[in-house]
Amino acid sequence: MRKWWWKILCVLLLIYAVVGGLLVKIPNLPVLGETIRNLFYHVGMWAAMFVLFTCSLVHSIRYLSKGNLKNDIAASQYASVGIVFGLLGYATGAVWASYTWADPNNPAFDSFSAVAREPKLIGTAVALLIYFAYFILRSSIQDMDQKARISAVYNIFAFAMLFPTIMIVPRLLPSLHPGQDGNPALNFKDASPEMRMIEYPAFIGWALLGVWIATIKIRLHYTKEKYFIK
Amino acid sequence: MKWLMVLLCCLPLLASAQPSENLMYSNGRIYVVIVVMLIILLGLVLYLVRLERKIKKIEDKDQQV
Repeated sequence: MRKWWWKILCVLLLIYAVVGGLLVKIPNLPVLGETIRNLFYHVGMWAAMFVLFTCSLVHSIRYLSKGNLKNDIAASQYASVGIVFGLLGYATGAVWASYTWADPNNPAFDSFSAVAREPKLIGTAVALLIYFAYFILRSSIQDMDQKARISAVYNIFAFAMLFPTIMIVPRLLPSLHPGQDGNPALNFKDASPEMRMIEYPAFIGWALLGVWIATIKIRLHYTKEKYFIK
Repeated sequence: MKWLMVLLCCLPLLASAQPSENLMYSNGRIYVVIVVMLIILLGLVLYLVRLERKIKKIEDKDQQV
Protein backbone atom coordinates (compact mmCIF):
# COMPACT_ATOMS: atom_id res chain seq x y z
CA MET A 1 0.00 0.00 0.00
CA ARG A 2 1.90 3.03 -1.21
CA LYS A 3 0.52 6.49 -0.50
CA TRP A 4 -2.80 5.25 0.79
CA TRP A 5 -3.76 8.21 2.97
CA TRP A 6 -5.84 9.89 0.26
CA LYS A 7 -7.87 6.74 -0.24
CA ILE A 8 -8.86 6.84 3.42
CA LEU A 9 -9.62 10.55 3.02
CA CYS A 10 -11.79 9.69 0.00
CA VAL A 11 -13.80 7.12 1.98
CA LEU A 12 -14.21 9.49 4.94
CA LEU A 13 -15.36 12.34 2.69
CA LEU A 14 -17.88 10.10 0.92
CA ILE A 15 -19.26 8.81 4.22
CA TYR A 16 -19.57 12.46 5.30
CA ALA A 17 -21.31 13.25 2.01
CA VAL A 18 -23.86 10.45 2.47
CA VAL A 19 -24.62 11.05 6.15
CA GLY A 20 -24.38 14.84 6.04
CA GLY A 21 -26.05 15.11 2.66
CA LEU A 22 -29.17 13.33 3.86
CA LEU A 23 -29.33 14.97 7.29
CA VAL A 24 -28.39 18.60 6.51
CA LYS A 25 -31.16 21.17 6.88
CA ILE A 26 -32.05 22.39 3.42
CA PRO A 27 -33.78 25.62 2.40
CA ASN A 28 -37.40 25.17 1.36
CA LEU A 29 -37.27 25.56 -2.41
CA PRO A 30 -40.14 25.52 -4.91
CA VAL A 31 -40.21 22.67 -7.48
CA LEU A 32 -37.12 21.00 -6.00
CA GLY A 33 -38.11 20.26 -2.39
CA GLU A 34 -35.97 17.53 -0.86
CA THR A 35 -34.47 16.64 -4.23
CA ILE A 36 -31.96 19.51 -3.83
CA ARG A 37 -29.93 16.96 -1.86
CA ASN A 38 -29.03 15.51 -5.24
CA LEU A 39 -26.60 18.43 -5.48
CA PHE A 40 -24.11 16.37 -3.45
CA TYR A 41 -24.40 13.31 -5.68
CA HIS A 42 -25.50 14.35 -9.20
CA VAL A 43 -23.27 17.43 -9.41
CA GLY A 44 -20.53 15.43 -7.67
CA MET A 45 -20.42 13.11 -10.70
CA TRP A 46 -19.71 16.10 -12.97
CA ALA A 47 -17.08 17.45 -10.58
CA ALA A 48 -15.32 14.08 -10.63
CA MET A 49 -15.59 13.99 -14.43
CA PHE A 50 -13.91 17.39 -14.73
CA VAL A 51 -11.06 16.34 -12.45
CA LEU A 52 -10.54 13.10 -14.37
CA PHE A 53 -10.54 14.81 -17.77
CA THR A 54 -8.07 17.37 -16.41
CA CYS A 55 -5.75 14.54 -15.25
CA SER A 56 -6.11 13.01 -18.70
CA LEU A 57 -5.10 16.31 -20.31
CA VAL A 58 -2.05 16.66 -18.06
CA HIS A 59 -0.88 13.15 -18.98
CA SER A 60 -1.43 13.82 -22.68
CA ILE A 61 0.70 16.97 -22.50
CA ARG A 62 3.38 15.08 -20.59
CA TYR A 63 3.32 12.36 -23.23
CA LEU A 64 3.83 14.93 -25.97
CA SER A 65 6.76 16.54 -24.15
CA LYS A 66 8.50 13.37 -22.92
CA GLY A 67 7.28 10.60 -25.21
CA ASN A 68 6.76 8.08 -22.42
CA LEU A 69 4.02 5.60 -23.35
CA LYS A 70 3.16 5.22 -19.68
CA ASN A 71 1.63 8.71 -19.84
CA ASP A 72 -0.43 7.62 -22.83
CA ILE A 73 -1.91 4.71 -20.86
CA ALA A 74 -2.66 7.06 -17.96
CA ALA A 75 -4.32 9.63 -20.23
CA SER A 76 -6.61 7.06 -21.87
CA GLN A 77 -7.59 5.43 -18.57
CA TYR A 78 -8.36 8.75 -16.87
CA ALA A 79 -10.53 9.66 -19.84
CA SER A 80 -12.40 6.35 -19.75
CA VAL A 81 -13.20 6.66 -16.03
CA GLY A 82 -14.19 10.28 -16.70
CA ILE A 83 -16.69 9.10 -19.31
CA VAL A 84 -18.15 6.62 -16.82
CA PHE A 85 -18.68 9.42 -14.31
CA GLY A 86 -20.17 11.61 -17.03
CA LEU A 87 -22.67 8.89 -17.96
CA LEU A 88 -23.55 8.45 -14.29
CA GLY A 89 -24.13 12.21 -14.09
CA TYR A 90 -26.38 12.01 -17.13
CA ALA A 91 -28.37 9.08 -15.76
CA THR A 92 -28.86 10.68 -12.33
CA GLY A 93 -29.80 13.96 -13.98
CA ALA A 94 -32.44 12.19 -16.08
CA VAL A 95 -34.06 10.76 -12.95
CA TRP A 96 -33.85 14.09 -11.13
CA ALA A 97 -35.36 16.03 -14.03
CA SER A 98 -38.28 13.62 -14.48
CA TYR A 99 -39.53 14.43 -10.98
CA THR A 100 -38.86 18.17 -11.05
CA TRP A 101 -38.59 20.00 -14.39
CA ALA A 102 -40.33 17.44 -16.56
CA ASP A 103 -42.88 16.40 -13.95
CA PRO A 104 -46.31 16.45 -15.67
CA ASN A 105 -47.88 17.39 -12.33
CA ASN A 106 -45.74 20.49 -12.14
CA PRO A 107 -47.46 23.56 -13.61
CA ALA A 108 -44.41 25.83 -13.37
CA PHE A 109 -42.78 24.58 -16.57
CA ASP A 110 -44.21 23.46 -19.84
CA SER A 111 -42.87 20.04 -19.04
CA PHE A 112 -40.83 18.07 -21.53
CA SER A 113 -40.27 20.81 -24.11
CA ALA A 114 -38.47 22.93 -21.51
CA VAL A 115 -36.13 20.07 -20.71
CA ALA A 116 -35.57 19.16 -24.34
CA ARG A 117 -34.43 22.72 -25.02
CA GLU A 118 -32.12 22.69 -22.03
CA PRO A 119 -28.69 23.79 -23.41
CA LYS A 120 -26.71 22.12 -20.64
CA LEU A 121 -28.13 18.74 -21.65
CA ILE A 122 -27.13 19.21 -25.26
CA GLY A 123 -23.76 20.70 -24.31
CA THR A 124 -22.80 17.79 -22.09
CA ALA A 125 -23.95 15.33 -24.74
CA VAL A 126 -21.63 17.04 -27.25
CA ALA A 127 -18.75 17.02 -24.76
CA LEU A 128 -19.20 13.32 -24.00
CA LEU A 129 -19.46 12.48 -27.70
CA ILE A 130 -16.17 14.30 -28.29
CA TYR A 131 -14.60 12.05 -25.67
CA PHE A 132 -16.22 8.95 -27.22
CA ALA A 133 -14.51 9.96 -30.45
CA TYR A 134 -11.18 9.97 -28.55
CA PHE A 135 -11.56 6.23 -27.98
CA ILE A 136 -12.74 5.58 -31.52
CA LEU A 137 -9.65 7.41 -32.74
CA ARG A 138 -7.41 5.39 -30.43
CA SER A 139 -8.80 2.04 -31.49
CA SER A 140 -8.54 2.88 -35.18
CA ILE A 141 -4.76 3.32 -35.22
CA GLN A 142 -2.53 0.23 -35.11
CA ASP A 143 0.89 1.74 -34.56
CA MET A 144 1.46 2.39 -30.86
CA ASP A 145 3.53 5.59 -31.05
CA GLN A 146 1.34 7.09 -33.72
CA LYS A 147 -1.78 6.20 -31.77
CA ALA A 148 -0.36 7.80 -28.64
CA ARG A 149 0.74 11.01 -30.35
CA ILE A 150 -2.39 11.62 -32.43
CA SER A 151 -4.75 10.79 -29.58
CA ALA A 152 -2.77 13.02 -27.19
CA VAL A 153 -3.20 15.96 -29.55
CA TYR A 154 -6.88 15.12 -30.00
CA ASN A 155 -7.29 14.91 -26.22
CA ILE A 156 -6.06 18.49 -25.87
CA PHE A 157 -8.67 19.63 -28.41
CA ALA A 158 -11.34 17.60 -26.63
CA PHE A 159 -10.51 19.28 -23.35
CA ALA A 160 -10.58 22.67 -25.04
CA MET A 161 -14.17 21.94 -26.09
CA LEU A 162 -15.21 20.69 -22.64
CA PHE A 163 -15.57 24.07 -20.94
CA PRO A 164 -17.31 25.91 -23.79
CA THR A 165 -19.86 23.11 -24.26
CA ILE A 166 -20.64 22.47 -20.60
CA MET A 167 -19.90 25.73 -18.84
CA ILE A 168 -19.93 28.69 -21.22
CA VAL A 169 -22.57 28.11 -23.91
CA PRO A 170 -25.32 26.85 -21.53
CA ARG A 171 -24.78 30.01 -19.48
CA LEU A 172 -25.30 32.29 -22.47
CA LEU A 173 -28.64 30.67 -23.32
CA PRO A 174 -31.77 30.44 -21.18
CA SER A 175 -31.28 27.36 -19.04
CA LEU A 176 -33.06 25.58 -16.23
CA HIS A 177 -29.82 24.85 -14.45
CA PRO A 178 -28.81 27.29 -11.71
CA GLY A 179 -25.80 29.59 -11.94
CA GLN A 180 -27.08 31.79 -14.75
CA ASP A 181 -26.22 35.16 -13.29
CA GLY A 182 -22.59 36.12 -13.00
CA ASN A 183 -19.83 33.84 -11.91
CA PRO A 184 -21.13 30.80 -10.02
CA ALA A 185 -17.75 30.21 -8.37
CA LEU A 186 -17.97 33.61 -6.71
CA ASN A 187 -21.72 33.64 -6.13
CA PHE A 188 -22.39 32.49 -2.60
CA LYS A 189 -26.14 32.97 -2.79
CA ASP A 190 -26.79 29.92 -5.01
CA ALA A 191 -26.66 27.49 -2.11
CA SER A 192 -27.03 27.91 1.63
CA PRO A 193 -23.78 27.88 3.66
CA GLU A 194 -24.80 24.62 5.36
CA MET A 195 -25.10 22.99 1.95
CA ARG A 196 -21.75 24.37 0.83
CA MET A 197 -20.21 22.66 3.87
CA ILE A 198 -21.33 19.31 2.44
CA GLU A 199 -21.03 20.17 -1.24
CA TYR A 200 -17.30 20.83 -1.52
CA PRO A 201 -16.13 17.86 0.62
CA ALA A 202 -18.53 15.65 -1.36
CA PHE A 203 -17.06 16.88 -4.66
CA ILE A 204 -13.52 16.20 -3.45
CA GLY A 205 -14.60 12.75 -2.26
CA TRP A 206 -16.16 11.79 -5.61
CA ALA A 207 -13.15 13.13 -7.49
CA LEU A 208 -10.78 11.11 -5.31
CA LEU A 209 -12.90 7.99 -5.87
CA GLY A 210 -12.62 8.51 -9.62
CA VAL A 211 -8.87 8.98 -9.42
CA TRP A 212 -8.62 5.83 -7.27
CA ILE A 213 -10.47 3.72 -9.85
CA ALA A 214 -8.37 5.25 -12.61
CA THR A 215 -5.06 4.45 -10.86
CA ILE A 216 -6.13 0.81 -10.51
CA LYS A 217 -6.95 0.66 -14.22
CA ILE A 218 -3.68 2.36 -15.14
CA ARG A 219 -1.63 -0.13 -13.11
CA LEU A 220 -3.51 -3.04 -14.68
CA HIS A 221 -2.95 -1.79 -18.22
CA TYR A 222 0.66 -0.91 -17.52
CA THR A 223 1.48 -4.42 -16.29
CA LYS A 224 -0.41 -5.85 -19.26
CA GLU A 225 1.43 -3.79 -21.87
CA LYS A 226 4.77 -3.40 -20.13
CA TYR A 227 6.64 -5.63 -22.58
CA PHE A 228 5.27 -3.87 -25.62
CA ILE A 229 6.05 -0.33 -24.61
CA LYS A 230 9.72 -0.74 -23.75
CA MET B 1 -15.48 -13.52 0.53
CA LYS B 2 -15.34 -14.95 4.05
CA TRP B 3 -15.61 -11.45 5.53
CA LEU B 4 -18.52 -10.63 3.30
CA MET B 5 -20.39 -13.68 4.57
CA VAL B 6 -19.71 -12.68 8.19
CA LEU B 7 -20.96 -9.17 7.41
CA LEU B 8 -24.11 -10.52 5.79
CA CYS B 9 -24.80 -12.75 8.80
CA CYS B 10 -24.56 -9.69 11.05
CA LEU B 11 -27.16 -7.71 9.10
CA PRO B 12 -30.24 -9.10 10.95
CA LEU B 13 -28.81 -7.56 14.14
CA LEU B 14 -29.52 -4.14 12.66
CA ALA B 15 -33.14 -5.06 12.02
CA SER B 16 -33.95 -6.29 15.53
CA ALA B 17 -35.10 -2.93 16.89
CA GLN B 18 -38.22 -1.74 18.63
CA PRO B 19 -40.18 1.06 16.93
CA SER B 20 -40.29 3.27 20.02
CA GLU B 21 -37.51 5.80 20.56
CA ASN B 22 -35.08 4.11 18.23
CA LEU B 23 -32.73 6.22 16.11
CA MET B 24 -33.49 4.12 13.04
CA TYR B 25 -37.22 4.92 13.28
CA SER B 26 -36.88 8.67 13.84
CA ASN B 27 -37.09 11.41 11.21
CA GLY B 28 -39.29 9.44 8.83
CA ARG B 29 -36.78 6.54 8.88
CA ILE B 30 -34.19 8.48 6.87
CA TYR B 31 -31.44 6.68 8.81
CA VAL B 32 -32.45 3.44 7.12
CA VAL B 33 -31.60 5.06 3.79
CA ILE B 34 -28.31 6.30 5.19
CA VAL B 35 -27.35 2.81 6.37
CA VAL B 36 -28.29 1.32 2.98
CA MET B 37 -26.20 3.91 1.16
CA LEU B 38 -23.27 3.40 3.52
CA ILE B 39 -23.38 -0.38 2.99
CA ILE B 40 -23.30 0.13 -0.79
CA LEU B 41 -20.47 2.65 -0.50
CA LEU B 42 -18.38 0.49 1.80
CA GLY B 43 -19.06 -2.56 -0.37
CA LEU B 44 -17.73 -0.73 -3.41
CA VAL B 45 -14.71 0.54 -1.47
CA LEU B 46 -13.88 -2.96 -0.19
CA TYR B 47 -14.18 -4.20 -3.77
CA LEU B 48 -11.71 -1.52 -4.91
CA VAL B 49 -9.28 -2.46 -2.12
CA ARG B 50 -9.51 -6.12 -3.14
CA LEU B 51 -8.85 -5.24 -6.77
CA GLU B 52 -5.86 -3.19 -5.72
CA ARG B 53 -4.42 -6.07 -3.69
CA LYS B 54 -4.85 -8.41 -6.65
CA ILE B 55 -3.03 -6.01 -8.97
CA LYS B 56 -0.29 -5.56 -6.37
CA LYS B 57 0.22 -9.33 -6.39
CA ILE B 58 0.40 -9.39 -10.19
CA GLU B 59 2.87 -6.49 -10.16
CA ASP B 60 5.10 -8.21 -7.63
CA LYS B 61 5.04 -11.46 -9.60
CA ASP B 62 5.79 -9.50 -12.74
CA GLN B 63 8.85 -7.89 -11.24
CA GLN B 64 10.31 -11.24 -10.14
CA VAL B 65 10.16 -12.61 -13.66
